[in-house]
Order: sequence, then C-alpha cells, then structure tokens
Amino acid sequence: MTHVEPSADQLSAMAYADGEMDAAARAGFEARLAREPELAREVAAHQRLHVLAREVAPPEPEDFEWARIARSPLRRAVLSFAVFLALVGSVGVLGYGEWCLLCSDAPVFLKWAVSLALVGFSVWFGIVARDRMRTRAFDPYTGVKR
Amino acid sequence: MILTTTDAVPGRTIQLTIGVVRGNTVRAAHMKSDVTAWMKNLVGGEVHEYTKLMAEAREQALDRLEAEARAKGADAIVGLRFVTCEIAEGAAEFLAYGTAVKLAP
Repeated sequence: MTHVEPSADQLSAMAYADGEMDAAARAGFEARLAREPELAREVAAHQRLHVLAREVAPPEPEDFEWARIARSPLRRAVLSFAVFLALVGSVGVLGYGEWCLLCSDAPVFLKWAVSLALVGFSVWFGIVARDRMRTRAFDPYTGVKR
Repeated sequence: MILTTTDAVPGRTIQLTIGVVRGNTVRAAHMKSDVTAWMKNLVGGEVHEYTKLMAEAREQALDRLEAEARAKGADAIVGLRFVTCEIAEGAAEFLAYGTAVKLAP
C-alpha cells in the first residue's frame, strides 16, 4: 500500500474545514477559495466528510473538554460540599440509629452486638483508609487517564 | 522490551522461547467514584471513573507482565493478550499474558 503525503493545499483545506484557522488565515484562505475552484472542491469534499463522520459517530467532547469541566472551581466547590453533606448525613443517620437502639427496649445482647460491630467496622475501615492514604502517594497508576 | 500481539516480531528472529509470562491486578475505585458512577448509571454517558479504573488496571498489569519477562531474561513478549473479568462490583481485574522470548541479535 502506498502512502501519499497530503499537499500543503490539502492540509490547509482540512484545517479550514475543521475550523482550525485563526481569523486572518481564514480570511486569506477564503479569498483563495473564491479564485481557485479546485481548492474549493477540496474543501467541499472535507465538509461532506464531516457530515458523514457525524452521522456515523456523533461527536463527543475531547478529553481536554472533560478536564476543563472538572477543573471548574464552582463545580469543584459545590461537589465537595455535596460530598461533605452526604458523608456527615450518613454518619448522622448511623449515629442516630445506634442511639435509638441504645435507648430502646431491645435486648442488651443486641445493643452490645450492634455497638461492637459498628465500632469494629469503623476501626477496620479507618485502618484500611489510613493505609490507602499512606500508599496513595507512591501509587504510580493513579495518574493514568485512560 | 518489545510487546506485540502477533506471534512473531517482524524483521526479528526468535532465538529462544522462555515461556508464558503474566501480570495481573485487581483495582477498586474509591467510594466517591463508585457513588458518582452509580449516578451516571441513572443519567447515561461515559462513566469516566471506571474508564480511568480500567486504564489504571491495564497499565499496572502490563508493567507486572514486563517485569516478569525482564526477570526471566526476555527481550520481547509475543502473542500478548488481555483478559478482564468482574471479581467484585466496582473493581477491575486485568490480566495480561503472553510468551516471553529472546530475540536473535
């Protein structure tokens, strides 16, 4: 199979069709399009290809666009606050449940069993989370994007 | 280290077949990612948290595969394959395996 490098005009036609030219280059190129029908045909072919490509696979935001959305300070602040509320609320619900159990007429054995399980799982989770926090800095794979 | 999915390295001769090498890992996303992923299940779209999780697992499995091949004195792995399976919800298991070979100089 022979590989043919695109000419400078073909590259310009692709850049124009892709909207990658700045205003000055665009104006200059449009002046050439008015004079050069061959170049105009090249651009039209790329624009038709664009339409076809969109039909085959709908466009999706690029990775940098996702990264830009994720970096938004407002989004991050609101998200952090929401996570904080969810965690505090969950701990509150668990604590209230435990308190209700302790104040209820449930058998003493059940009160002890639930309390010990709660303390045990909390300490267990705390140790696992602490280990992860300590090793996270040395985990080279957390930076992998995809 | 040359990694290839083909059975041979084009342009090179295999001098010695060392044997099967593999690298695997099971990685989990943290709770925040899992909750976000669960919410994305409701609204649709790409679950970036799990895309990243799979990519992390793939790279780690590949690094372990390469490390094993290097330890055995190989300079290429042919017939490279990836296998994934679900061992737990929200965790990604990735196994990379192939045949470690020594190439002729």
